[in-house]
Amino acid sequence: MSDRARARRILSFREELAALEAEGVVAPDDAALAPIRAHHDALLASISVREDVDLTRSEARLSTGMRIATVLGAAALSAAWGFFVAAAWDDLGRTARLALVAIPPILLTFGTAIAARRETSGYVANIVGTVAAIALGVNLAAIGVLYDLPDSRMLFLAVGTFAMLLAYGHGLAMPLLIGIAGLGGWLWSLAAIPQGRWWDGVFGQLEFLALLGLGAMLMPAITRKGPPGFVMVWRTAGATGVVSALLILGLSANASFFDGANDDMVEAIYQLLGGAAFTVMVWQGLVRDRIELVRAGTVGLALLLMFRMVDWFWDWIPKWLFFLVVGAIAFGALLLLRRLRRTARAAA
Amino acid sequence: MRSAWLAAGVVVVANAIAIVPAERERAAPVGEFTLQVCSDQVVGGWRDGDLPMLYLPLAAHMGGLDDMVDDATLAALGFSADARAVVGDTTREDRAWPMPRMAWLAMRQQPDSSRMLEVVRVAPTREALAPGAGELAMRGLIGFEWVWEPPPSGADSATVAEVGRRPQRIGAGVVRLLPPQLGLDREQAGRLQSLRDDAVGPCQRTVPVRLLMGKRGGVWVSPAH
Repeated sequence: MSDRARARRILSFREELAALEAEGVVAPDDAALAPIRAHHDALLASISVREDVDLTRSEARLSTGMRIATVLGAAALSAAWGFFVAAAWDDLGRTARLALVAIPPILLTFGTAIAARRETSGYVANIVGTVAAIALGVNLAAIGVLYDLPDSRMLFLAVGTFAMLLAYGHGLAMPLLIGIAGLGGWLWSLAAIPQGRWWDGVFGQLEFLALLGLGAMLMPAITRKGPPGFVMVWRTAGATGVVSALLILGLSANASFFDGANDDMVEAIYQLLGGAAFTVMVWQGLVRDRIELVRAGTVGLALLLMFRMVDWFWDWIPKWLFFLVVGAIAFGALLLLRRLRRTARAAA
Repeated sequence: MRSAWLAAGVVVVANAIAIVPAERERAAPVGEFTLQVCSDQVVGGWRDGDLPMLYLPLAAHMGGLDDMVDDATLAALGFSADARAVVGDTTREDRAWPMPRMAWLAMRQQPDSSRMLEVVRVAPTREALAPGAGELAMRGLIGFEWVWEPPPSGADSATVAEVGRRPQRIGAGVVRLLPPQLGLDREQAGRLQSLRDDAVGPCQRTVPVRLLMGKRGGVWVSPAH
């Protein structure tokens, strides 16, 4: 169990204990509780040294705000850097241009290391690491412009590797996401080689995205490196890839490796495959207590159902009836889920 | 700190992989080409202080490139027999099209007022292309597109109309030049600025720009054009 999960469990235990004391079930000065409290205090103290965990509800609320601020800060600073390079680019000579784009990623790399060491919560290091990865992307794109180079898959490889090193070196989730996207994009582009396509000619074949997503979902089972939060990032990124790929493939065979075969059959197969895959996601998520799989599978099923409804009924039934049917299906799903929950509760 | 050093190493290596071969190529250009540039080819840079780029205009080729990209050339470029079979097809509607492949192109600038670049030869390598004097050799993506049959040379208007009524067919064509446009520094852009101020109409006046070619397919505007 991760430190964060243990701390959460201790805090829940304390809340419940306070409620029991208020209801008179347990005496506040019960001798049996004193050693438990002392043990939990010591545990929380040691966890708070190792990891930035929320020790109260108000801390948890503030942490949510800090996470949002981190994402916004990283996006805004990355955009600021990109626009600054674009604004200064034309007024500089070749050497100054190279220095302008190549030096900042290196400086930001060490800035990330310093931020991660000084501020253990990782919020500042996440921002600096994300901006560093974007700065490397800007760096390589700018060199392409400077030397009139054709676009290349190497940008994905370099940015992905760089972001992964920052993520695993300092336990940073946002660079990990960039790393997954970068290395995923590079691996995806490799599928162009056996087909003899230009490197980006394969991004229209979403089967590879689904396979890479599946690989990302399985990655936490292959390697346990990095903080416990990385498991969630890998699985969420992978599930998002699988769901989006199967949904689009079910809508249009043009996005398929098998484009040009019987389009209707290709789409029907992917609709069936999507339905089955999303159901397995929800089922496995429930069995293994993985909320990210349940969420991705549920969203996938809901969207798949919506797309099918539009495809099948939109043109030949009145609009009011269409939405009535959608509402009835949602109501039916609600009843089914409620029944499943009751069954699960009875079994428990 | 070890991961920071490794990440910094990735930055250095990635920059070196991009810059060193490009610098080497530019240090030893293997050919040059004078492009007559008119206002249509100077693109972007509309905002104050921004630099424009030099667009390489590719002429549409009536009948596709079939006269210079025959089945053997397509095979040499790596197109499979299935892919090559689309050439001449007139009925392919929603079916998949073969994806483009990289090729070397030799081009000449048309002498008429359009000043377009016309592909004159296609080959899988620069050695096989053997570009001659007055030819721009660079890489591009060869793919497939709908093409019109060209009317016979010297045909009368009835024949031209008859050809125009025939269904389009699929032929080989250039999908994209690599790169499709070239960067300009402030001095180079300054020399072309007079074209932007030209009020006489598109492609009425031209300025010669010297392009240099590299062994690996690089094309760039000469620093002192």
